[in-house]
Amino acid sequence: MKQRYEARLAEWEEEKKKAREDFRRELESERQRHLNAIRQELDEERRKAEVVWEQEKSEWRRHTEEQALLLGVAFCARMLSRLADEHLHHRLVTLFLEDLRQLSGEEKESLRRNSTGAELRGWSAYPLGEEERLSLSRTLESLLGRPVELSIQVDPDLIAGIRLHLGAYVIRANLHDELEFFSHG
Amino acid sequence: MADPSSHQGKGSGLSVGAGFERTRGSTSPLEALRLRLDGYRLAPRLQEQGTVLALGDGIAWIEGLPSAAMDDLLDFEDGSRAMVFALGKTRVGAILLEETEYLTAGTAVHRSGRLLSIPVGDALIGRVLDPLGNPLDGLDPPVCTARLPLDTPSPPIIARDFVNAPLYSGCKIVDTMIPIGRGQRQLLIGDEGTGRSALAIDTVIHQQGQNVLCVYVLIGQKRSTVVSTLETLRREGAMDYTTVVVGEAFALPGLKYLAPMAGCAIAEYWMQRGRDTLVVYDDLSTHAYTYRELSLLLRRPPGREAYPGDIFYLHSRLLERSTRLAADQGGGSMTALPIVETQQGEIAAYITTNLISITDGQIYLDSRLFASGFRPAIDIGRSVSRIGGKAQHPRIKEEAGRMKLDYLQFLELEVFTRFGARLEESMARKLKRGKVLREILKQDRLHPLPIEFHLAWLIAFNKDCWIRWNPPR
Repeated sequence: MKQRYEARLAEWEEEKKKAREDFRRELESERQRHLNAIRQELDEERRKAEVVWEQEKSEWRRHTEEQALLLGVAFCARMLSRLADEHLHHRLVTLFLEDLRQLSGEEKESLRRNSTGAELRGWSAYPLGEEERLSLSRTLESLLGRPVELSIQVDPDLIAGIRLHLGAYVIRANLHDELEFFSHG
Repeated sequence: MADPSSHQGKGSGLSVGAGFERTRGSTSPLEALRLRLDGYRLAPRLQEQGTVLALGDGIAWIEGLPSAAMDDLLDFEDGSRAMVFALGKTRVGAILLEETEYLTAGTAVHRSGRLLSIPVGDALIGRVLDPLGNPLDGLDPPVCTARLPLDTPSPPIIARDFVNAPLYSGCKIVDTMIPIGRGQRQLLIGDEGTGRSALAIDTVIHQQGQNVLCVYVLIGQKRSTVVSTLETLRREGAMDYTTVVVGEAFALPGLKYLAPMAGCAIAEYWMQRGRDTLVVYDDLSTHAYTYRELSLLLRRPPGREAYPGDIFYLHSRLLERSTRLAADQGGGSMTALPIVETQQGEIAAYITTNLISITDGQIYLDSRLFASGFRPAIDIGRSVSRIGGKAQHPRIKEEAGRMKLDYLQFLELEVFTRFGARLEESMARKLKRGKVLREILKQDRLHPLPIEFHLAWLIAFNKDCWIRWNPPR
């Protein structure tokens, strides 16, 4: 009986050992599974954080560049408003007239088609002299192939140069619009 | 009409370009400037100019602008703004977004070269805005470092991930039987006055402490409704994580049309930065009416019920932007709760069926249930969540697994008992359980409940803890 009891005890010990081993293995595999899941989750979180960090960096870069451009334009506008004078204005008008005369036949045709009516409106940073006005009228008449009546108002916001409305187009040759182009395209 | 490309020949005295190219959002400002300066030469700059022919009902007809494209933003000489909505042979139809008192026929119009965008960022939390990002709450304009276009393509399939996290609404019926996942689009549908907005507001209120940012879009609502919604959200502390976008009933139709896109763009920004968001569109029926009004005014060909042919696309492209992003795209999510109104419970109407087919499920609110005192008046049989089950917590799923089916069987059984039929004990027990469940499912407005509470009552119900209780007749 004692022998049987001891054999049973040994068997029981064996069973316990086996059960403990199974339990340890199960625990280990469960631990591994959870660790893998956590690792995967962490990887995902890391990837997310990297993407968000990159996005924030590029957003700030973009914002800073925009601000820098606007500040650059503001600086130029202030500087030019002091520097610009009638001389620069007349130089711009002269350039404008030269460029208008050099338009190709196709370009002239398109402007003719899309600017009807005799009266043309325009704005100038400084008042145009009689000679300048005459020259502008002649150039436009030759460009559009018909007599025109110019109505030019003074707008100091242009800093220097002129802006002209020609039917379906507006022609800009002034510093204000150049600065706009610089900052916004 | 002139072809502006004809002015781009080399050696020409004029330069064309300013205002002709749409600004691309992805190019850096310095890079864009470098490209512009590459071929720069001081020369007269030629730009197209249009003239307003006619104005009225929130739209403008413009002569000229031959290079105008759809959705181009237009700047008027007087400071007004509009967006191109229809292109004709000789004229352009535009919807007004901002209108000054000086805007009249004959005003000059230019293309701005930009697409419509809205400021986005954390500065918008707690704010009330119009669809252009202008504040309506009397505070200073929000200072944001980023802007997003209102209309952007939805994320491609490879940028998306599975919907696998739950979004709890706090409503017993929804969280247990019609679950919603983060990134899902769940339609709230029903007649007027059945509690669709109340359910949406409850869901927003329940997001407190859930790490979800909310955007509530009010489209074509009366000012009293707007004020009442805002008051409720403020009183319940929901404005700490919510932005409200308002296109009021008396606002320009263009703003009502743009309101859902603006709300979506705001949420999209947060989603791209890894945040979970919830957008409520209240409601898309009014949005469809506005779109129809604009389309008819701009003489687009009318289709079924006078809606334009692309009405389905309008809503599908809006709701397709709601998704759960993959981790390498930021990993955020945008859950959408569009609301649609039915007439006399008719769910086979045009806009309703469109939205049912676009969304991932619908919660149907029934006027008869509402009148009988069952609130929220959700018709469990007609409501469905196609993907929410995947996102449901396994314990809730286990407990609520058969509940919907059992409840529907009870409702059928209950019909027979009205004829006074004698029931065997098992049937009577089923009937009793159903009646108890019906009482449990009733929930007051503005009383969203945590998910732990739902699990508790589910376990208690499944263990028949309430079986001795007699529900009121």
